[in-house]
Amino acid sequence: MVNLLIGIHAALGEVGVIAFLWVFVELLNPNLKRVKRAKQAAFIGVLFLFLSWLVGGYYYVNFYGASVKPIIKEGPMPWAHDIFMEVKEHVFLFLPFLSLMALGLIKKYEKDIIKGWDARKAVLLISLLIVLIGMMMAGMGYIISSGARAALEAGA
Amino acid sequence: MTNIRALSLSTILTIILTVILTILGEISKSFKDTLAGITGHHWATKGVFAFAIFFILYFVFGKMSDKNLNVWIEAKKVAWVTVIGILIISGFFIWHFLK
Repeated sequence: MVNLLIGIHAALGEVGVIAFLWVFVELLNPNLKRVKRAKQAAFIGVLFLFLSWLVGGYYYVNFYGASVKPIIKEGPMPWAHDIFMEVKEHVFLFLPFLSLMALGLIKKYEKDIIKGWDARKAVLLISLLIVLIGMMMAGMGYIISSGARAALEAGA
Repeated sequence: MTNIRALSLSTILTIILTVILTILGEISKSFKDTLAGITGHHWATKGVFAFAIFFILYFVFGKMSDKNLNVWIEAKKVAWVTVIGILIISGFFIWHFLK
């Protein structure tokens, strides 16, 4: 039942999300050094979110559907799959592309971010969005795991 | 050099495509089976489509100029489409569960 891939998927996703929190913090009061660090953090974020997608996707396609989903659906919290897993697996698909958008903005407006407000606001907004969606993913992951645990406790 | 107009349009259209594929897959079993038939799993197909469409669109829109672009407005467009996409997907699955 417990699969290492879930932990790896969650850890990779968390690093990706934290990287964008790092981007957000660096750009609150940017200078040349901070923008450079933000660009590196965004690159790390993109990389880890794509890796999280691959690992999570491999687990979902090869293990979840066959061995976890039926248990959750038989248990006392079928909505953990029918609502939260369905939303999570589809909204997750937005994250890698939003991360590329954030990285692209920093690369393109590296100098404008220090001088102007618009480019900085743009990166802050997309980074914050990634962080909030990432937190939403973690929360939904907890609910899905609880659904599986509750089902096993109920003898499903 | 990164083209922000192309990046913004690709992101927006990829999110819209993901939302459409998700809902169509749930309301039409034959469509979901078709998606599943392509890679072996409907979700994997959606991911592959999203990835491919994003880069194809970026390449296509990359020919457009992004000079004089208001980057804040572009970011707001992406953010709004993302939030609306999340609301549509969440609302749909809540409705689907309750119906």
